[in-house]
Amino acid sequence: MSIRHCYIHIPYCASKCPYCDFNSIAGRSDEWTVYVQALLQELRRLPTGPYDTLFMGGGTPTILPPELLSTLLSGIRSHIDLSDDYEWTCEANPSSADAERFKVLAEHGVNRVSVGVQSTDDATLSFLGRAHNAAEAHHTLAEATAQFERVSADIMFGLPQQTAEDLKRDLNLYKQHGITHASVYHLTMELGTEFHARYKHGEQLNCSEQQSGELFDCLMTELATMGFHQYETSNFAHSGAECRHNIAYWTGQNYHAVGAGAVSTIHGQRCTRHKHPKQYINSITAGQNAIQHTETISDIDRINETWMLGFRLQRGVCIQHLEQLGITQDCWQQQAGALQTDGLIDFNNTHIWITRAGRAVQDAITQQFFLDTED
Amino acid sequence: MLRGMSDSLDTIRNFCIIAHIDHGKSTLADRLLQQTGAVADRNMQDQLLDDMELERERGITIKARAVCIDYKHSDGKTYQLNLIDTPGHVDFTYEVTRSLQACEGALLLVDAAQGVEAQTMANFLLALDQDLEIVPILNKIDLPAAQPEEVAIEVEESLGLDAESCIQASAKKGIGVPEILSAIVERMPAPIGNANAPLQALIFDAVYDEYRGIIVYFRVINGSIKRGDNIRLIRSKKLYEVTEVGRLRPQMTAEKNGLAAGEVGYFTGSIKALADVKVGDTITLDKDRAEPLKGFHDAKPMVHCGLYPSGETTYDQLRESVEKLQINDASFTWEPESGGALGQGFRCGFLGMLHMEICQERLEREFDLDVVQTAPTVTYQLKLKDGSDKEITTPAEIPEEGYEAIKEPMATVNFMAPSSYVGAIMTLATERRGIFLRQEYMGKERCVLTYQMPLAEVIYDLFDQLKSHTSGYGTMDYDIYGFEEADLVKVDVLVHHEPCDALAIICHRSTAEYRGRAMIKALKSEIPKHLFEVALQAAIGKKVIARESVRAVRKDVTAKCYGGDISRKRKLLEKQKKGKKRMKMIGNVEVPQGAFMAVLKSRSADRE
Repeated sequence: MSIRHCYIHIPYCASKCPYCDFNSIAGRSDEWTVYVQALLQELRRLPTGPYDTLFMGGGTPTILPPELLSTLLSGIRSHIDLSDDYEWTCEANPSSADAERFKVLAEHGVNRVSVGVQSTDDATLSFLGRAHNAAEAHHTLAEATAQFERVSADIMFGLPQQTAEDLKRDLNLYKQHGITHASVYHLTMELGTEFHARYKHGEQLNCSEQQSGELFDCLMTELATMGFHQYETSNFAHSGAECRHNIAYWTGQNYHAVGAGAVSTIHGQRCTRHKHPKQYINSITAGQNAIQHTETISDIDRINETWMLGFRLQRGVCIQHLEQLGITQDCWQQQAGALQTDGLIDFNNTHIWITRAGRAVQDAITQQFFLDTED
Repeated sequence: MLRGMSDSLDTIRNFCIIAHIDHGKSTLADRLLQQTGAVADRNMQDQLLDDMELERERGITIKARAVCIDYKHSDGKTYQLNLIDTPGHVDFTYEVTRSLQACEGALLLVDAAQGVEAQTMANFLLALDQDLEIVPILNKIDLPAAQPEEVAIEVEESLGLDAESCIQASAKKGIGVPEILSAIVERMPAPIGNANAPLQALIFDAVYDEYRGIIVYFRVINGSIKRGDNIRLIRSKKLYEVTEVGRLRPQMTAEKNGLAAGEVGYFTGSIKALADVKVGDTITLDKDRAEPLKGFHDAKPMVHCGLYPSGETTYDQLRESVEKLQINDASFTWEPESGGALGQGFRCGFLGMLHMEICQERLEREFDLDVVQTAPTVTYQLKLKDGSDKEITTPAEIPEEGYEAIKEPMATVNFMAPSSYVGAIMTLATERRGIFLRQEYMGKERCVLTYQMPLAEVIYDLFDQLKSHTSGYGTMDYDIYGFEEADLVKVDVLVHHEPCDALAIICHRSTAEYRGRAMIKALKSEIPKHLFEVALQAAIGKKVIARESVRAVRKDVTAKCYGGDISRKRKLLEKQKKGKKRMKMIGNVEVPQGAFMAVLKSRSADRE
C-alpha cells in the first residue's frame, strides 16, 4: 500500500521558547536558502504520491521570507501529487505570519493553518517567552481566517496560578474568530528545556496537580459547549474539522518525513534525521540520506503504541487492529473490567476507549495495558 | 621465634581486649602488632583484626580472631602472645564468653574521656566469671577531654580494680604500649595444661573463606593437634581430617609440628558446613577421646524478620545469598516463607537487632541484592486452645482462632548514663514496659539503672531512643533471661481492605492504637497515588483502630504526542510501568519497598 502522508520540517524560529523541546533553532537566516534546497532535494527522493496529507511544521515555517516560502512550496508541488481531497497544513506564528505569507501559502495549495497562539494574555505570553503579544495574536488569527477556511489555534494551559477564568478567556478566541480546530496543551517541563532546568532548581513554573486536573476539566466542558468534540486528548474540533494528518499518526499509519530532525515511520522502521540543520544539509547535498538513527519497531513496541496512541483518540483502540497484532480480548479483559467498573474506560465490540472521567489520568491507565518490554 | 609443640607453657600468654564500642580496641590491637614487629609499618592497614569491609566501616568487630605475636621481654626471653579479639556488641555475648574462655588475661580498655560504659561493665563481669587476670587501661589520654585520674577512681569504685594498676595510654599515638606489653607478661598468668593428655581444644570461632574453605579457630587446653590428625567435634559429632594447623601472624602460617596445650591457632579440614562447627564445641582426637569442655550451648536466634527479593533481585539469587551468608555466620538462620503480597522469601533469625542489620547490609552490599525486610519480631510462645504449645516467629503464625495465652522473651537491661539523665531513662524504660530492678552509682557522676523489659521493646529502636533521651551519653546492654506471659495483641495493617502479613505486628494492648496510627501514617506517606482512593487501616481482629487514605491521582496525561514523539513517549510509559512492577502488590495497590521500611521505623518517628 502506498504511503499517503508526509511531514516537512522547517527548524528555524525567531527565538527559542523556554518550554519548547521541538527541533528548532533561532536565527541563522543565512542558512535558510540552502536548507530549503536540501529539503527539496530530499523530498524529490520520495515517491510522488498521491498524498492525502502534508504537514509543514517547525520551528516556524512562516519565518521564511515570502519568496523563499514560495520557492519551497512550488518545489513541493512540482514533485508531489496530492489526492483530490488532500489536507495540507502549515504551522504559523503570530510573530512572523502575515497576510502576504498566508496568500503565498494559499496560492500554492496549503489549505489549513495552525497558529501558535498559546495565550491571549500579555503577561503569560511574556512568561512563556513568546515573541508576540495578545493583540498580534488576534491580528494574525484574523488574517488567517480571512485566507483559510480551516484554521487551528494552539493554546497552552496549566500555567502557574492559572485560574479557570484565565483559561476561559483564552478559549474564547475560538468563538471570537470562528476557529473550528483547537489544540490545547498542558505546559510540560520537557527535559533539555530552559523551563525544565529552572523547574529543577525549584522555580514554580507549573500549577498543582489538583489545579491542573480542574483546568483540564474546565477546558473539556467549555469547548464542548462551543461545539467542539475532543477527538484526541489535546485536540478538539468541530465535526469534519479534525486534523487528518495527525489522525494518521494516532492510527499507526506509515508516514514519510523530510527535513532536519524529521521522523518517518515506514514498515516498522522509524528513522530520525540529523537534528542540526547544518549536518542535515551536508548529508543531503553529499547524496546521503541524513538518517541519524533508525529504530526497528518490534511487535511489542507496535502493540504498546497501538494502546498508547489509540487511547488518545476519542474513538479509542480498534479491537480488530489489536487482534491483528495477536492481542485478543483475553489479554486485556481483566484490566478493562476493573477500569470499566471504576468508570475510567469503556468498550464495545469494535473499540475500547477512555471515558471523560478517565481522560485526565490516561497515562496511568495506558500503562496497565502495555506488554512488558525486554531490557 | 616459632614455637610448635613448646615444652614449656611459661612463655605463653593468652589474652583479649575488652572494651566498649569506639573505646579503641582495634586501634590498640594494631599498635601491639606494630610495636612487636608482627606487622611491618608499611603493611599496616588500620584495624587489621576486623576483616570484613563492613566491620571496619561500622567500627564493630563481628568475628573474633586470634593473632600470635612474638614479644621480646626485658627479662631476655621471647614470649608468645596470643591476642584473641572478641566481638564488641550485646548481640554476641555468647561468642564473647567463648573467646574469654580461651584466655588467661584481659586488657580492659576504658576511654579516659568517657569513663566506664555499660558494655565495659558487662564484658568485665563476663571476664571475671572466667577468672581472667584483668589489666585496666585508660585509653585516649591524649584527648583534651581526658580525665584519667577521675576515670581511674571510677574504675576502682565501680569495677573494684586498684586505681593504681591502671596503665595510661593512647593507642592512637602509641603512648603506653610498651607498658601494656610488659604488663601482659608480668601480670597475666601463663596457661596451664598437659600436652601429653588426650586432645581437648576449644572452638571459639569459625569463618568461611572463599579460598581456604572453613577455618576453625581454637585454643588447645590439653594435648596437641597437627596436620593429618583425625579429629572429632564432640557436640556436633562430626569427624574430620586436619589438612593444616597454624597460627595467624597475622597471615595464616602453617605449623608443621602442630600446636600443643596452651597455644592458640586455626585448623582447616574437609569441613562442608559452617553450621557443623559450633562455637564452644570441643575438638578431640577420634582415636583418643577426651571429655567435652564446659559452657557450650547453641546460640539461638531471638529476633526474626522476613527477607524478600525486590527490584531486579530474584528469589533464587536471594536463596543463594542467604545460603552463603550462613556459611559465614552460623548464628544466622533462615527458612523459606511465603509472604502473601511479598511473594516468596525467607524467614530469617538473628541474635539481635544489630546482627539483623549487619546481615541485611551484607546481603545488599556483598551480594548486590535488593531486599525488602519485614518488621522484626521476637520469638513468642503460644498456649493454644487445645492445650498444646507453639513457638512462633511471625505474627502470621498466630492461628485464626486465637490462643489461650502468649508469652514473650524477657531481658534484663542495664542502662548507663550520667546521673542527670536518670529521670529521662526511667521515663523511657517505663514507656517500654520496663520493671525497675535497681539503681547503682559508678563514681560520683554515673549511674546504672537495671530493668526487666520485654525483648520486643528492646529490639524496637530502644538504643536509638536511649541516645536521644540522654544527648548521646547513655549506653545499654541486655541479656535475655526467659519468657513471661503478657497482654499482647496482633495489629493487622489493611491496604485497601487487604490484610498485609508483612506489616502485621504483635504488641502490647496498651500501645496497639498508638502503634497502629504511627504505622498507617508512615504508610500513607510512602504509597503513591492510584487511580482510586486507597484506604489504609490498622485493626485488631475486626476492630479498626486507625485509618487514613491516599487520595486518587487527579491528573496524569501526556500533553502532546505526534510523529516525532511516539518512541520517546512510549518508552517513558514503559519505564514508568517497570518502576511500578518493582513495587509489591497488595490487592490492587502498588506498594514501594520503601514503605515496608518506613512502617518498620514508624515508632521512632512518632515518638520524637
